[in-house]
Order: sequence, then C-alpha cells, then structure tokens
Amino acid sequence: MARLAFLKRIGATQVIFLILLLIPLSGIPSYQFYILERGLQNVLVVLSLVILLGFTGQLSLGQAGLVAVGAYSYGILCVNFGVSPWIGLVVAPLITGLVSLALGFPSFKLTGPFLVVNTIAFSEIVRILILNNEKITGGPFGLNSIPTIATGLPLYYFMLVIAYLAAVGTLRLGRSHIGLAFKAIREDEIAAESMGVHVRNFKLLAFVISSVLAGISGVFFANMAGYLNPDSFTFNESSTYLLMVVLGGMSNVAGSILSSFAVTSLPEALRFMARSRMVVYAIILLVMVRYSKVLEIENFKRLFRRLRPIPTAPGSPAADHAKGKP
Amino acid sequence: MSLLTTAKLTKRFGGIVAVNEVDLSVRAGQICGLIGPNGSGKTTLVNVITGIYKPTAGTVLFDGRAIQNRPSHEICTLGVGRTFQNIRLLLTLSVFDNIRLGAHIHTRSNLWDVLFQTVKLRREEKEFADRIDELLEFTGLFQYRNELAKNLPYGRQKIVEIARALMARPKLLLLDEPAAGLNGSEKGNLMTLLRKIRDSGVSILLIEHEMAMVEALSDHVFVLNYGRKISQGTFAEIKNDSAVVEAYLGTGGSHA
Amino acid sequence: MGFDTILQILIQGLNMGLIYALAALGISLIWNATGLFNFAQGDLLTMGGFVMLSMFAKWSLPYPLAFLLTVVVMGLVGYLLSQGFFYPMFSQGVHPDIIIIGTISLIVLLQNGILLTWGPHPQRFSTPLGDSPVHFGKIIVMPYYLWNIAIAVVLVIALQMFFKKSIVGIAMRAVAQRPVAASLMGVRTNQLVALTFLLATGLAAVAGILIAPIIPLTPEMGSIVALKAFAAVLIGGLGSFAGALLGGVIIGVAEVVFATVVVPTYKDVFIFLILIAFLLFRPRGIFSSEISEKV
Repeated sequence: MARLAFLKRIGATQVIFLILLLIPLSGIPSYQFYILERGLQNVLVVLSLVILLGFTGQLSLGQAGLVAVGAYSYGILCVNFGVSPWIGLVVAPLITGLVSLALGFPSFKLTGPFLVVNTIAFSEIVRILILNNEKITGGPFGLNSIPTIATGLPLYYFMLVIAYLAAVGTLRLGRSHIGLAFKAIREDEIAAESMGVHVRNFKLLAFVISSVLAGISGVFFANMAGYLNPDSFTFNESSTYLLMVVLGGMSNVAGSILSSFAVTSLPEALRFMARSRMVVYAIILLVMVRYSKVLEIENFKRLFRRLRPIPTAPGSPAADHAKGKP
Repeated sequence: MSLLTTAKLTKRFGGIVAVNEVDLSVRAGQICGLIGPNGSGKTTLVNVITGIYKPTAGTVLFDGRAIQNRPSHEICTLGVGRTFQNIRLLLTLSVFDNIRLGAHIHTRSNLWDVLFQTVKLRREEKEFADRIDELLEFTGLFQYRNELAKNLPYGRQKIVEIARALMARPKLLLLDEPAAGLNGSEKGNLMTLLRKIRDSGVSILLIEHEMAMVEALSDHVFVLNYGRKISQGTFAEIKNDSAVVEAYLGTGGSHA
Repeated sequence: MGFDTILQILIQGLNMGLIYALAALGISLIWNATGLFNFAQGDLLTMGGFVMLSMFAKWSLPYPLAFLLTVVVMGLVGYLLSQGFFYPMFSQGVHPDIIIIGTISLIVLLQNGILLTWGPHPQRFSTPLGDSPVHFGKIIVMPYYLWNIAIAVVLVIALQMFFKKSIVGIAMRAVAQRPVAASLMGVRTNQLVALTFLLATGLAAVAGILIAPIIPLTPEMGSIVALKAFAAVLIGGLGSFAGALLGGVIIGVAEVVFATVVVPTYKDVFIFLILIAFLLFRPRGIFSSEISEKV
C-alpha cells in the first residue's frame, strides 16, 4: 500500500527529470549533450512563461530581454567585478527581478496587443543598451571568458537540480492560492478584483517571479557558453520561447518541459535544419491556433474565458465596454 | 444601525447619468430589495458601491467608513461581497477552487509557504477546505465539490457565486439578479438560502426582477428609474406607489 | 544648425516616415476591419522587399514590372492569409490573445522562411534613379529619397480617393464601422476583410520595396520595423487614416533628428521609449478620435 501511495505522487514531471538524469550517464555524443544542456536552460524560461502566460494570462514577448539581463549581470559581475560565480548565480536573478519591475510596472495596465508591444519594446531596449555599452558589456564583440560554476557533466547536473526545483516550485505555485489568484486574473480581472485580489500587485508578482526564473536561465546560458553576445537575445528567441510554452500546453509544466526540448535548436553547424524545424513548429502552431475552436483545444479554451471582442486602446470607454462595464 | 449608506451617489458616463443622486441605506440584519425597470441603473449602482466605478459625486458609507473611490479589492476586505448579473466564475476550475478564491482575503500564507509547503500553509488550507465543505453543505452544492464549474447547470453556477462571496465572510452581500434563469424549485431553494444567509448575520441588498421573491424576502425596498430613486418603503407601500407603477408600465411593463 | 541641414533632416525623416506610415496604414486598416493586430506586417514588408529583390535584382525584370508583380504577389499572400487564417478565426470568435499567438507564429514562419529562401546576409537594391547624390544648392539628397516620397504621396492620395469615392472603399469603411449592419445590407464581410488584408499587405510590400535602398534587407528586420509602425499607429491614433500618416512621419523625423542631434546608436531606444510613453499615458494617440473615426 505504501508503495502505491508513493507511486501516486510521481507525476509526469518527475518521470521526465528522471530520464534527464539518466541519459547522460549512458554516454552520448557531445552535440546531443549540448541539446540537453540547451534544453534545460530553455526549460527555465519556459517555466517563467508558464507562470506569466499560462497561469496569469500575461502575453509577454520580452523574455529574451530578461534572460539577457540575467546572463549579462552574471557575466559583468564575474568578469568586470571579479565576483565569485556562486555569488553571481544568486545576485544576477535578483537583479533581473528588480529590472523586471521596470517592465512590469508599465505593463500591468496593458492588455493584449498593447502588452505584447510593450514587452517587445522593452526587450529591444535591453538588447540595444547591451550592444552599445562596449566598455561594460563588450558590445557586439561580446563578453568573453566568463568564469563558470562548473562545466560539462557537473554543470549539467547542477542545472538539472535547479531546473527540477523550479519545476516543482511552479507546480506548487500553480496549485496554491497564489496560483489561484493568478488564474483568476487570467480569466476575469474584474471578478478577481471584486474577490479581494490586488490585481496590480499580483501581476507584478507574476512578472518578478517569472523574471527571476529567466534570470537564472541567463546565468545558465552564460555558464554553458562561456561568452555572451547580444545576438542571442532577440525577438527571435522571445518568440521561440512563446512557441515552446504554447506547444507545451501553456499552463502545463510537464508539457512545457517536453516542448522545450523538442524545440531546442541544433547547434550552429546544422543551422539550416534548425530553421526548417522552426518553420515546421510555426506551422504546427498556426494550425493549432487556426483550428482551436473546431478542435476544442482545451488549452486555448481553458485559458481565456472572457471574450474581448475588439482590443481597444487602454483607458478608452470602448475598452471599458469590452471589459464588461456597461 | 445602518450598515451601508449612499448619499447623493451619482455616476455619469459622458453625457449619460446612469445613477442620479441616489440615497439608500441598508441596516444590519436586513434584506433590502433594489428594483426598477431594465436600464434603471441598479447594476451600475452596485458597481459604484463595490468600487468597479468611481462615483462622479456622492458618498458611500460602509460600516462607518467612506468607501467611495477605494479600489474593489479593498472594499472586499472591508466586508462587502457581491455576485454578478452575468456569472463571473472561473469556469475552467472546480467548484472547490472557485469558492476557495473567496478566502483570498483571509489567506495568511505567502510565497515562501507555498514553495516550501510549510506547516502553516497546510494547516491553513485544511481550515479553508473545512469551511468550503461547510459552505457547500449550507448552499446544497456538496455533490459538485470537485466538478468543473462549467459543467454545472446554470442555476447551480449562480449558487456557487453566492458561496464564493460568502467564503469571504462579508457583512453585506450585494446580489445582482440571482434568480434570473432559475426554474420554480430553484427559486424556492434560493429564497430559503437567502433567508439562511440573513439569519447567519449577513445583510443583503437584492437586485431582482422576480417580484414575488422581493415581496417575500425584503424588509425594505428601493425603486430606481432612469438612475433616480423614485420610491422606497415596504413592498406593500411601493407596490401601490403611482410613480412605481408608471415606471414599470410606462416602459412596457417589463418585469419577470 | 543651418537651414539646409534642417531641410536635409526633414527630407530624410519624411522619407522614412512615409515608409513607416505605409506600414502603419496597413496595421490600421486591418485593425479597423477586424479588431486584430497584424504583428506580421513588418515581416510582410520584409518579404515584399525580398520578392522585389528576386524579381528586380536577380531576374532582372524591369523596375516597374517587378514593382507591380511584387505588389500583386504580396497582395495575393495577404488575401490568402485572410481567407485561410485570419478571417475564419475572427468569425469564429477565437479569443484575440490566441490570435495574437497565431500572428507571432506567423512571424516565426515568415522570418525563418525568408532566411531559408534568401539567406541571412543583408541585401540591397536601388531605384532606377540610381545612387548618386543629387545636389540642390547646399542640400545633398539621395535620389531614392525623392523617389520614395513621390511614390508614397501618390499612393496616399490614391487611397484617400479610393476610400472616399469608390463603392468598394465606402463598403470597407462601412464594414469597419458597423460589421453587423453592413453584412445585413448585403455586404460580404469576408470578401471585404480579405480585400483589407490584400490592401494592407500590398502597402507593406510597397514599403518593403521603398526601404531596401536605405536599409539593406535582412530576415529579422521585420520586428523592428513593425514596432516603429506600431509606435506610429499609437501616436497618430488607432483607426485613423490621417493619424497613421502623421504618426509615421513623426516617427521618421524624430528618428533622424535624434540620430543627428543626440546620438545615432540609441535612436531606436528613443523611439521605443516614446512608444511606451504613449502606451501608458496617451494610448488614444494625437487624433484621439476613439473608434469613431475610421478609415
């Protein structure tokens, strides 16, 4: 009986992580190992979107910018200030969280396309700032020789542990009253507010939590690559993260982990295949979206309930009308 | 002892005056009816009271405090609960979860507790779960406990909304047409429930078109027309008020 | 700063501004007709530029023919996108945020598709007027600036006449204002939406053709251009024809001014900050005509 009870608590997430734990032990070629590493790094960003988009319904296309903040904070702290990588690991995500308040504050009023545009603009601003401050960030030449916490297999298992903790944390968050408040915001802000949820603060909370995760992902990126370049943090990456989280079921942790690995690109040498693969995934998503009503794709239906007929400029009476205010 | 008092409460939308200098009050322990033809501003009035709209003029006093211009979530914590004319449940979640949302304002656990599943969190959730089960019994919804809200019959969904509002332990409950769309026996159950709610110490302001229900339940009735209060009194009194009769018949006699 | 410098800046700014305005107009048109935000406008612009590249630079078709063919091809693309993708979702009432996700997927498809087809390197072509600077006294102007301005102005005038005078144009405005009433009066909404997309994509294609001499074409440029076009739409006021124009020109001129007077590397940041400011403080734009003033 006890054994059965234990088995019940093992979910899809645990199984996936168990597999990830075991694969490298059997000895795999280096570029497949690289995929695993990259996949793991992406998992953290996708989890951040599970919280921000899946739970809270905030459509953000600025995650690449947040990952960049995490990566460069870590890199700059270690390279320019000689800080120990372990301290960098802790501080960089915190910095990312702080910076995201600058993103979150303007964002909480915005919905739909306006929110999207805001987050894209934010991400671009970050990238341009990185590009043009060569003294600090290395600009287009990149930031090199970044000290790492570990490399190779030890790094992988370290990231695995952190990713697992993040996944479990996300699951717990989703099942909690905080997750419930997030979902209430996603489905019906007015109802949430009327039931005592401080919508603005909770949106900010969602932004900060998700950006801390993105920041950790950035630290991982820096550790894996050993150097940083602003070209790794563009709209391209942000939209890829979005693709991953949507393919994975948006609020589904296990699914999102799987899709992170599925979508993670092959290394530069096989760039052509990576691009074709992106085309395929884009098409899959287009079909999913196009036929979402017909196929009754649960993820899409379950995610948003209030139909807002026409997105309008925030603050206009038409926007109020659309929100259900007569 | 007045629990809720509005004084010259006014709400304009551009050129339209949806609520026009409305004075009303609800005493503790009362069920008050709020009636009027469609479009007379009843829901808007409730929206102003609960902070969804800011009033153009006038004040709202609740439990001794001025609450106009306060945000909705704050007003909720002060003890004002409400249901919506068009149900605003989280349809993709279970009845249990929907009602649990009502306890948001009473939740002490924070992010740390959630991430580490502390004893504090688990104890608190157990308490809430017990109370939710109590409410489910109280409202007759126990069989739907783990059902997704969207799978419930419409009438039951309305009750879930009431249960959710009760979970917040309000002093005053503003109900917006809870009987709309209910069949005969459901209406009867609703009336019984509302009496039970009142008896448990929660005052009610009831917007309704269902006159039999208003008559049976209300201690006091307010009548709105075109945003203005045109009459008030016991149901018997307002029933015979010519202004009220004219308001209803004048607009084509539209009431349930 | 001398008068000639100012004039030069204005011409440059007007030139880019009109290009942004064309893209902004496309966004505005689609929004008016469907309430949808076609984020992919920027990438349709890029695609238009690349198609023209193939026709004009690679296959050496004469410029006017290549121009026309490109616009026709892109218009067709827009039409198909509308019929096959956007309109069905719109009429089924798919949630707008889901449609946005679909639009982003479209962007991914376009950007990667363009990359696979034309390669990652910046490519450029010019106008028949060539690349030798033209001198007007002390003012030095690239010939394609004049070309762009001319074409854009002609287009805008043609569009205005189309919307005010032609049956189809008036019908499109009717659909924008009152879709239900329009369809009750026999207007076939789906055809008109498709026409709107056709028009918007055509405009994007023209913008892509005009931008190539100035900014070499790359597969990823669409996102930045789209952002600036959005800034233009927001500044000018959502749904307003004149607003899109004005917004575009303001962005174009602001960009050049900022690059010349302050520092070129941060000109985009400056524009994006303006965008964010408008998002937060004046989302209705300068022509705060609400939803009432339509194209």
